[in-house]
Amino acid sequence: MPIASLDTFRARGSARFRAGLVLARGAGWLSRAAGTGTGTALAGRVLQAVSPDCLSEAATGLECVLVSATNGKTTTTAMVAAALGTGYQVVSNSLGNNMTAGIAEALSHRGGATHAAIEVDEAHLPLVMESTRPVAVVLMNLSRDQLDRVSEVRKVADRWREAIAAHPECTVVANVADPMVAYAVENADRLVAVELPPGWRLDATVCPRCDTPLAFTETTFACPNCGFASPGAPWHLRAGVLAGPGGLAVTLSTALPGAFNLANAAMAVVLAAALGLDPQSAADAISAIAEVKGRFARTRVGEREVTLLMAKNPAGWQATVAMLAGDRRPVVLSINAEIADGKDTSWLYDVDFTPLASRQVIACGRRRHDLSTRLGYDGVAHLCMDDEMEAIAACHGAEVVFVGNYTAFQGMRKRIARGHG
Amino acid sequence: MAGAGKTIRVALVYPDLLGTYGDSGNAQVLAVRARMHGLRAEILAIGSGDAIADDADVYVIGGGEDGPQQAAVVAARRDGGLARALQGGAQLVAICAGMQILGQAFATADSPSVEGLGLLPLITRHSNRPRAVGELLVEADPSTGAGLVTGYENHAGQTELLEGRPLGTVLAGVGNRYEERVDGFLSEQVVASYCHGPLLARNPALADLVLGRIPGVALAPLADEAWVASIGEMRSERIAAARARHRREEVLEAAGGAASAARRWAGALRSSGPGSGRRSLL
Repeated sequence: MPIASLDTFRARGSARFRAGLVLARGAGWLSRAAGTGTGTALAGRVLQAVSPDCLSEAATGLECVLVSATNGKTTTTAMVAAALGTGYQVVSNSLGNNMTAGIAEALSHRGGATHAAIEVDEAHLPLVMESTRPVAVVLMNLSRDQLDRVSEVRKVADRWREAIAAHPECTVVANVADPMVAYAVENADRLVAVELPPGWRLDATVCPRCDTPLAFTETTFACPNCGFASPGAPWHLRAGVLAGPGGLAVTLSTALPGAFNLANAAMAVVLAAALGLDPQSAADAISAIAEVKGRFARTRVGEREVTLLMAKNPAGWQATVAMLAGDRRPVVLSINAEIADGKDTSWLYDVDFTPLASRQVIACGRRRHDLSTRLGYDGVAHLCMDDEMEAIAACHGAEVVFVGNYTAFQGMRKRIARGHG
Repeated sequence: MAGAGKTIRVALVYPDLLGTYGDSGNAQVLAVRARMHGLRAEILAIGSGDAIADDADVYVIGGGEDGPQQAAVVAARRDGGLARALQGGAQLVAICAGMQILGQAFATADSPSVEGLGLLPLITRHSNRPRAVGELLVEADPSTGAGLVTGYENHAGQTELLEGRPLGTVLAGVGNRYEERVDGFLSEQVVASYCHGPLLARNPALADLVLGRIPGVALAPLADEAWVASIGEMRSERIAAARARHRREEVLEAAGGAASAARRWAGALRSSGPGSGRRSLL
């Protein structure tokens, strides 16, 4: 990429914003040239410093759709972009910068786009709503992420709730089967409620309003004290079929594995329908997505074809383990505990690894001994190895699944990109 | 085989409320290690809507956030099973918020003092000091034979023991409170700590201590399994990480001390120096 592509100079907005873009892209280019990364994080910081209003400027004239959740936001954003693409020209923050300046930098590459599909970090949703004035937000789930940070799930839900109240004009597509999400969108004026199959519930066992333990059925919840309950929804996902209002039925299929990806697809299709696009065409566009930023990618490592998966927190790991239970491929699991991962690995004991027993399992990563201990107590026979590439080579059979948490996954992607260095 | 006739019953109390920090793993570690020692064991997971059976051998209770912690104390007080079980001589492993609710009183973000269950002689208060987060290293009371205890602490509350002794002396991290370098609570029936990790996964000697205290139980030598070597590796890594935290904090403290000494000096120089009058006009 050149230091400043032509669209840098064509970008709309104030002189300050355009100057910020030129400097940001210069910084990004230098960072790439120095080999320190993709340069997008640095570019974002430079842009923010030069032009504090960068995000509102970058979003001006775009119909923005924001996607946020603890899990699945990157994939769902790609799906929303594909769904919107059936009717519009779309720009997306597809390099994964989901905080303010990164989003602004991504949107400045808009070209002729009329719409934007934007992944937003959960904590940044209020700020990004304020700056982009979105036509719609897509909200999927809230659960705990890094334990060592102050991230009480309900605090995030409260902030979402305030942000939604401040933007009554915004369409809110929300998975109301998640009690925390249902609480956040309770007062939305323009709510399009979706009921996804239940996922991780361990972080929403008490009523978000009054702290009384919630009573759950298969698909609903209710507070016996204050009456807070599943609101019901015109859209439901059951067994791969998305049922909508007026007898509408959309068959979903994805090239991506896992029940959670069908749920992500359902959210993107409902969003498309809410914005007046044909739901089946949206579903078809989504079904063609084969990988999202390296996640779910199939790549060759030596003799073996490796499927790369990322799982960042207990809910993500539980969904991933459930998906893997369907086959017997060897798995290489890699756990780090850097700042981006959370430094506390206690959460390993909230994931049931027993479905991985009776296949080849290799524990890797800088915290492989924590993982190995966990697997041992779960009765999952495994090896413990310090190098992921050697672990893959040690696997039996032609196909291997690699699952890493955040920095373990990114490290693996880099090594594969460098040619297994 | 010794104790083979008995099935050890491990009660996991309110994992739906106090399951945020992986502490439910303590129940699993007890059950699995009991089996590795040639015993039979089962786990009873007791949800907050269920009655707490009072005839289990060991009770395990973990950490959680403020709202669920309050719901847990309400439910446990109404139920009464935990109090009966402890009076009956059962063993208890309590971590973080679980330890706090068993005391006289504890604090949440909304309330400086919530009445606890009154089963342990300790009280937990708010503090203006930063939340204690990071690797915790404790030299366990010699009576436990557990040596170094490693864990990960993450709490705002400051716990004071009203009587009895702590689990051990803090070598790195904060533990019960900033004012004294101790962690947790220890008695013939109770092992309580701020260590997540979970505590018994990182410190198998404590798991064996608790199992060995159950009447009628004799532990056979541990069955040899290859993965067990990982526990030792993990312990060495975590102990080293905790010592590194301690060194970092010592350096920061020394730097902070030097900075305040420098500020005092500068202040003294200003007030005695010839320019002091002019400077105060600015």
